[in-house]
Amino acid sequence: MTTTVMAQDSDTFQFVDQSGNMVANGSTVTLSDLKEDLFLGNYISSGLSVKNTSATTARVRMVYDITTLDNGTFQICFPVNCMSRFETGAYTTTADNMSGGEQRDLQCEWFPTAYGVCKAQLSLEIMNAFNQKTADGPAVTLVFNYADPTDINVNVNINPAVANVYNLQGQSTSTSTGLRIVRLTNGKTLKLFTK
Amino acid sequence: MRRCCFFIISFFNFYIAVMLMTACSHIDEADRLIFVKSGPSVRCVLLEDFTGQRCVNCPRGAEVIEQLQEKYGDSTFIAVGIHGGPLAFKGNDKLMGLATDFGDEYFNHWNLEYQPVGLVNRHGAVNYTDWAATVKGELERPATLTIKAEADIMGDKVDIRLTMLGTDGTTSGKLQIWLLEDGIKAMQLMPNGTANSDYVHNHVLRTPVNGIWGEDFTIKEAEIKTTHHTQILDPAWNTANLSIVAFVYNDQGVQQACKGKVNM
Repeated sequence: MTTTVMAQDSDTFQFVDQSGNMVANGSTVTLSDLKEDLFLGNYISSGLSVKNTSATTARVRMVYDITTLDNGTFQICFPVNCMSRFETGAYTTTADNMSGGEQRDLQCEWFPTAYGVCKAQLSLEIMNAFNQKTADGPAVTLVFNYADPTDINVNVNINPAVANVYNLQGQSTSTSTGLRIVRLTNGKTLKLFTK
Repeated sequence: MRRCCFFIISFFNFYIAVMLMTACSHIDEADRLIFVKSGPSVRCVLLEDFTGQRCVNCPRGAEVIEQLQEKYGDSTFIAVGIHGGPLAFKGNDKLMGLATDFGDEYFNHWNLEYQPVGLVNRHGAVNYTDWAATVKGELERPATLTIKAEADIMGDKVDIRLTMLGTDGTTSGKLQIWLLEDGIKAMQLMPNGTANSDYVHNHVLRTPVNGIWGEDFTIKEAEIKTTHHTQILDPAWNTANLSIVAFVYNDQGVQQACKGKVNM
């Protein structure tokens, strides 16, 4: 019995975030910014693209495994078609060529219909002209989180750490009494008053 | 440009011959005019483009359709835009949507998984990147009947007349008639992720005329059949941009299709 070990190629294609930064292979990206749009509806965008970082044309497809889908629709439009999924499961896109340096938006979004979570792992696969996989590309895990902003349990579950504490003059402080502005690691700020 | 809807001259010659035969019953059977095959009928190809206003890659599919229409002519290569599935937009009080319940029914019936995707003569789902090759292959197949479609606006209705001629054996299946509209300006998500409010949607399926799945139809070789249908106009439709698509399909796919302009 022969076992074939698939080559790893995490360089030819890279995931790129909306700021243009490379997303490292194996990263988990947490997303919670709900956009409300009259045309598109309510959605949380991944903001991710895929870039062919090489100088030559290469062929790629994606395997996406939706492990959690509390509600709504998971959508991805890569590399040539748009797919909407209403159920968890592993799916594979068609393959397409991307020219050297080309960057293509995934249009990967979750359209929630209620508070909840959607998790999916996206894995790129490098293909040859005969649509045979030649190497595994990078993978990222997306966690879409649509949480009730008034729900105190949300903060408890996320359990963000305190990044910094400021006094009313905006100066960093270590005092534990009086009125302070607390910045958390999840980017939120709180006003706290302790006697 | 190939014309496949109907061979008008040969058909009307045949029609006159039939009239003469029925009017002159005393003519000896051996002397009567008979139907003579003039070779296989030219096939038109029907592409059902399952599209959606919220599908970023669907404008790329529309570009492929434009190229194929330029190459073959829009009466030989007949494209119909069916707005259905999860990326179709049903509209709201601010924005016009082109999605319909029957569009969803077609999308679900064919178990389609992605968009844009097309059915070429109903031989299964074809990705838009493969439409050109599939259409070319389908055009090379002979057809077993011809269809001629005529339509006129009569007040608040469209008057639709079809004439079919069986040209090879017996063809059985369903006859489907659709009403399309061109030149609809409505929102479309573009490949670069932006929303274009001035996008022009062409060959949009507005309504099936004779039911979602058509009506039973059988025609024998040399037989002529005519049908007459009417469709009430929706005030939202631009009557200057309407056309009719008629086709006969069965388990082996679309056997013949025809497109005709709706005359004002």
